[in-house]
Amino acid sequence: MAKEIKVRESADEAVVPERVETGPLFAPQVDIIERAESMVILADMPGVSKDKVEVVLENGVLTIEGEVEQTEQPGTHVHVREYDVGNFHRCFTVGEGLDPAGVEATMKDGVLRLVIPKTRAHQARRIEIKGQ
Amino acid sequence: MALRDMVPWRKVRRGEEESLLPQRREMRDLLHETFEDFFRPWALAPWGEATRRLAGFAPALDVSETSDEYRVSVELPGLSKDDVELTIDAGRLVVRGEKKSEEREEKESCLRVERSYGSFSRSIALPESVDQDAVEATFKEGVLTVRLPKTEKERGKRLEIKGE
Repeated sequence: MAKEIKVRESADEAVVPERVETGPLFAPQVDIIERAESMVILADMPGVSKDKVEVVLENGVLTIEGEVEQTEQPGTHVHVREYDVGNFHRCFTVGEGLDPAGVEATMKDGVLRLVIPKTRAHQARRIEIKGQ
Repeated sequence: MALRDMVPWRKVRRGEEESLLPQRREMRDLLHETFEDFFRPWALAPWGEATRRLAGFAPALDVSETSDEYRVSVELPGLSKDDVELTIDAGRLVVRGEKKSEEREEKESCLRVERSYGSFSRSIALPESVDQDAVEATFKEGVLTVRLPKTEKERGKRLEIKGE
């Protein structure tokens, strides 16, 4: 049980840090899924192309950043604004039990998918029950 | 005849928000729409309301206008053009589709689910100045952009803002 909790805590919600930016900054919506051998993070970043995504791991903090092109031409009159166009940023603390060096990142249709393998020690293992 | 017989009387159980009687639901929706319109800062007559159905989720959309065209963009991350149906029906632009969740592996637990799934449908009334035959749509990086050119005589004409 203690092992499970440790891995769970490794993906914490992180607050968008205060910083000075030109333009709005958003935290992408994420799904965090724990699998037997890895943790999967799916982050919605519509409008971000593959080459504008950055995934950085530093001191146990995993940061995802996405840059969105401002496509609005001058002289555009806006009628409805339900979502604002801006860059994305979110960070997570990665605790023990995950091997961030083995992370796999793919970007498709505005969704970033990160697969972080668990370290061998934390992978769920079936324990065979030996009979008598 | 007792007064009781003349006045329709219905019993509504408490806590039954979801299964409101038909009349009640209409009233609630009517109020909801009225408030929505009231708070809209742009009450331009041709556009009407951008409605959302009560199923699944409602993706966010933006509507903007240049002198030559209107642009509607809808945020639909994780979807591509085959997942979405775009139609113009009775002067309304309708975007609908379904976002399916990924295949679930056996030993899997969702620690956090913030993203939306399910069917969605949004529609928006088009102003008359739209050339419905020349509408184009592109889907890139999870954003659907619909370009609605204005008819020849409407181009270059600034849309008048009515009211205060």
